Amino acid sequence: MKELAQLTKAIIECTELKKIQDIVRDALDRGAKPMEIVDAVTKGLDRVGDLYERGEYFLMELTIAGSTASDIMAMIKPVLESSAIPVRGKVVIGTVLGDFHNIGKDIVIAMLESAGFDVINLGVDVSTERFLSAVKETKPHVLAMSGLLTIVVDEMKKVIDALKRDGLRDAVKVMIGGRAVSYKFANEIGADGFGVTAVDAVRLVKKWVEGK
Amino acid sequence: MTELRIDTPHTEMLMFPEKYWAPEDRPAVERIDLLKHNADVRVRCWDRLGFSIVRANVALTPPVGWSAKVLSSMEAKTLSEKMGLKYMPGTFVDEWGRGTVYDPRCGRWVHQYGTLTSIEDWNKWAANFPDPFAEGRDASARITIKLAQERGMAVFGYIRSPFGQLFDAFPIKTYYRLQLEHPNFIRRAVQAYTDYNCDVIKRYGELGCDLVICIGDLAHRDGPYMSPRIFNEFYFPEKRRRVEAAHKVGIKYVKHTDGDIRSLLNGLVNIARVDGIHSLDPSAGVDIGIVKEKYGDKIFLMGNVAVDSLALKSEEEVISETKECIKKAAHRGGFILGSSNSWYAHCKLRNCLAMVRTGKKYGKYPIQFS
Repeated sequence: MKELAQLTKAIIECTELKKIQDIVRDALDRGAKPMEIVDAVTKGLDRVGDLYERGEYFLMELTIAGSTASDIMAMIKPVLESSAIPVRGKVVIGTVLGDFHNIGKDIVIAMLESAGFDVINLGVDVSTERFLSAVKETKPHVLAMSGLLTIVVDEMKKVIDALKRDGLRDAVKVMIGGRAVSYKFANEIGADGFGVTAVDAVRLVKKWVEGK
Repeated sequence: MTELRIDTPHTEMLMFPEKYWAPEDRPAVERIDLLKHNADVRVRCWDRLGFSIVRANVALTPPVGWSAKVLSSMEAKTLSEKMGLKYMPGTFVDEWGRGTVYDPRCGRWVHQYGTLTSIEDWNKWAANFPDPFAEGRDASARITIKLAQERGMAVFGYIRSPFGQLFDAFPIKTYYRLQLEHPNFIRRAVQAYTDYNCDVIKRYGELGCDLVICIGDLAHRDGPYMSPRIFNEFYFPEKRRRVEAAHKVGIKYVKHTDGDIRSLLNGLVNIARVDGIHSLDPSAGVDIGIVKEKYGDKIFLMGNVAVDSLALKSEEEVISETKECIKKAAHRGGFILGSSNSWYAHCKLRNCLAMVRTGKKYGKYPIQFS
């Protein structure tokens, strides 16, 4: 269906949101299945991610593509729900206590949601207790913690220590990301991985949840 | 040697038992007095540290006629529903449309979210664009400059870049969409913020400032927030207008930005024609030595002992990094030593002081490391 190819292209080219929404409506009118829309969006996002990692695209394109994908997901949500497509996995995410930055985290959320993951966003300045209770209540596949300020690195370790203390460490994969952290730090505090960029973070979640 | 800012816990530790306030949410009359008090404490603190330059702020200091309205839970909820944005209780929206929240660790108010959601919102807000000459706006700066001049210190004045203002006033995705889909609106807004900044720069000149530092990051760890082409086309020509306004009143213009700005340096130097660049963020891969080699004949450099090092490393490592910084950037002059941003509350004060001691020991011309 030509609309699906158009949709992928429009996401890659950061086309005006209204035009993209028209393409989605046309595709649905012509009988496209919700999962085909999701796949077209994911293809577009993957390409935007490639271009970002190659330095041809910047945070602007990554953010626009992610937010467009979120808007499309919201648009097709009623159809998606009625077609009972299983979610790919569940992710709890938040910026750790003492840090109010949300840009990187929100891009990761948009990209995860559009890739079909159920994302529980705890927001910014999230305490160890809130991370812990969210893990207990929602039983996610992945716990993702973000932080820009160096002060937060202790908070990430506290969360992992609390997971160990409560016997939950093996029940969830822990990913960290943000300016303040690194591969080395992820290893030091016992996280399972470090998402260098938003694209990398999504790749890591897919790998963990689906073994891809 | 100087810093962009020293967070309150460090200032209070250095000036014990004196207090340093965060009065932005207070009624105007109280706020202005507390800011004047802060100016006094700050100048004495920075002088005691041996800094040669101290900060004054006209651009972002609210005037007498403005008071913060801190949101209650109910007001935050109502506004969130009305605006489709997350307003938080305990925050206030500042003069520039930025949701501002108190950070108890740093002892200051920080911008948390943009409250404008459309061009119409911005137009409504801009109908009462902040007045650079409003009464009270320069009250604390005047004290700062007077006290600094008595001590033989230079003064830098703050302005915030139009990019930073727009980036803060809108949610990020809205701002990016506007940049892409409504370039004429962006041009108009950038001009309006620049007009304001030019007036403030003129005031800094009249008050006796020596340089102006334009804050507002253009990049993050992995690169610029937008393509260098967009910065070169939309933002740097207007920056040049601000640089020229500074030169007209005999002061130098410095651009501060964190992040990996290597692909923006050419535009900053050759289109905006800034006099200096601050930060040169080593944690984002910027090597001050390479920047010195490439642009050292055109600009002076400020920085760049990593804030991350001040927070996480040992005194010995900070001393070594500071020496390295001086070695790479101080030769032939044109270098002001400092951290790669500010003395945040999470930086170890002993590391900050180690940087200062090292600067005093090795930072005198002629530079010698025998």
